[in-house]
Amino acid sequence: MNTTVSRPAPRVVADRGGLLGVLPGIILLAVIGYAGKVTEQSITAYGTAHGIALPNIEYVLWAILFGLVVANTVGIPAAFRAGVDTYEFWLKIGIVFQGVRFVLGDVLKLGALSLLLVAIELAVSIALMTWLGRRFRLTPKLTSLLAIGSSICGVSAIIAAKGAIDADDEDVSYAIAAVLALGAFSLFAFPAIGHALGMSDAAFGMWAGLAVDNTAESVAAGALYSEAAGKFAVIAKTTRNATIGFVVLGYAIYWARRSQTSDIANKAGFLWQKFPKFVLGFLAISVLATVGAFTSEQAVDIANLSRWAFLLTFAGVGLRTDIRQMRKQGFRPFVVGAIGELAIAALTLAMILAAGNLLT
Amino acid sequence: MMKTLSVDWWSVILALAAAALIRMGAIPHISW
Repeated sequence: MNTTVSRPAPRVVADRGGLLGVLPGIILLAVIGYAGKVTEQSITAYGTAHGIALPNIEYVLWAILFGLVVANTVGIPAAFRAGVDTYEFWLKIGIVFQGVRFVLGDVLKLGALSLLLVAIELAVSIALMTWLGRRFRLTPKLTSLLAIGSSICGVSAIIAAKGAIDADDEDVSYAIAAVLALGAFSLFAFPAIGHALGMSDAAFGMWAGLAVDNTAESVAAGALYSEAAGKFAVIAKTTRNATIGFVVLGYAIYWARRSQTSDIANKAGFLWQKFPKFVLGFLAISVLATVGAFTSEQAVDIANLSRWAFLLTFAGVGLRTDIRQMRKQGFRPFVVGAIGELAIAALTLAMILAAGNLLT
Repeated sequence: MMKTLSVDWWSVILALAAAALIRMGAIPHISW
């Protein structure tokens, strides 16, 4: 199994050498992320000092680019890898902190709208990926993994499904490579399309949350557009992530009926096991903010903590994108993924534009 | 205990703990 592109979510933060073992990698994330922030500020300051209107390139892009350059030139030394893997933890903690920026009413309204759009997106993307997988003669389990990865939330959904449908390591590696490669492409393509169409922050954020597969890339694509769009991407993507258990359970039952995996006896337990618990943290912080548990200054502090956590995440997005490994994965799963993703992106874009009035 | 909690739960626990410390004034102003 390819450890570079198919990195299982670490079970605990303190694994692999304890907290000291992850420290070098976390410092690397912080240095790269902070370099991105300093670069953005320096360019802005230079433009202001010299009266030049320079394009405002967000720190998000710089952090990802610096991470990409490091990972694909000097590489990540072994001592840093465990810490770099914590980018997913920083993503989740950043999302929990984001709850402070939403009053519960907004969460319910946007969550309900997201859920409706997610339901349509799920049905279409699963049907489309299954059809494409058959057309391109991919193995049935690889097709299932690509359908799960593209319909819900990329890498974590694929890893969650791996055990449930007893997929081969090689298929898992292929599916993850396809999702990550397309996620990297989306980071650049989505904001460009959004600007070309003159999309509002809310519409773009919802689109990024619905169409970009991996959570980190989804939040990054939103943040690349604007900070407000990043906020909407978080809520749409979080809603999408919350459906992970149902889709993986559906596939597990499907494969069990084909007698290729054992049946799941406790379905409620399975759903709870697969449910992304950070969604509960996001809701808890949102409830606390709604009932006035925080002063406005404290709410700003918590929102700023979210920004710092995302800064580490975005550095990690760049650092774990290994272009050489992706090229080794072959092109057929990538082609299936790319065709499917383009169709899903177009469909979700049409849905968002149609739902435009509800987003204002 | 530490070995059994998932990353998800750690993110929730640490975020809520940080929010509680901010609420109590134990963490100074966090700038961006």
